[in-house]
Amino acid sequence: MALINYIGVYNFDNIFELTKDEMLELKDYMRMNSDSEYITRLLGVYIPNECKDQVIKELEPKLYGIRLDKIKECKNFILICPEIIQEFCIENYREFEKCGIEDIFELYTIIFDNVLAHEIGHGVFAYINDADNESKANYFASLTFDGTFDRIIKIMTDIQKGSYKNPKLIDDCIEDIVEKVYKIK
Amino acid sequence: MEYIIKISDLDSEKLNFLKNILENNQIINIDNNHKGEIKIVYDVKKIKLNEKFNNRIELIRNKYYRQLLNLINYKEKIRLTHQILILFSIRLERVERY
Repeated sequence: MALINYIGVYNFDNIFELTKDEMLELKDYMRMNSDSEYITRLLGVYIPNECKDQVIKELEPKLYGIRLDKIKECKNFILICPEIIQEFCIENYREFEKCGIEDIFELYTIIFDNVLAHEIGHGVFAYINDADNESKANYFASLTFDGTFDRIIKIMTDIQKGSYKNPKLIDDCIEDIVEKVYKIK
Repeated sequence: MEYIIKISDLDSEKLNFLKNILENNQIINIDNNHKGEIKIVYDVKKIKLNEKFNNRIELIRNKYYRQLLNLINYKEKIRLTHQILILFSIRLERVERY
């Protein structure tokens, strides 16, 4: 039963919505931790405890008061940016039309849920330290939606490039998933 | 408080117990340094999840655990089938002897 050699454990304390301005404060953090264009990663981000202080420091010029206090009390948390997701949907709508998406609002709802599930996926598998984090997060999103949004995830990751490319999805070859997602060879 | 999951012993009851811990407690640490085991250290929940995401998170968590439960039930079915096949082959062997 290789598939449950690692069990997902929901490890995040809270989820916060940021504005585009606030999220863009994280571009240096994202550049350091990413091999792809930072803007395509800023739709959402999972912040593990070890990066918390750096992220809070970068957010401090734009974020203050009760919102910042709430972030500070978390160990691991998720940041999501509806504004950037909306821009992403408007810019790339044509790419998703072939999936039968009828309008930008529908696309926005699906992408938002996907980004959220993807970031939760980072939180679920965060305790497994390796380089295939994006594979795990995308697999989690695919699993969560029973493969319904797999075509959307594929298009999305093609746009995002870098380590997002070739996501592992629920209907992919099982050996591939076992190796990339669950690290069992 | 801590809970150790031994993956090979995982069944639906233990999985539901784990789900319950995750829903109602704060995770302090997860340790997977021992092969086949995951140790979860947890405490009373102090941080309240942003209300806007409550339903979404519950939905995603339930879906994920349903998938895991399916896998466990599937594993159980394979185990039972395997046992039945062994019993069947033993009986068949006896019949052949007679």
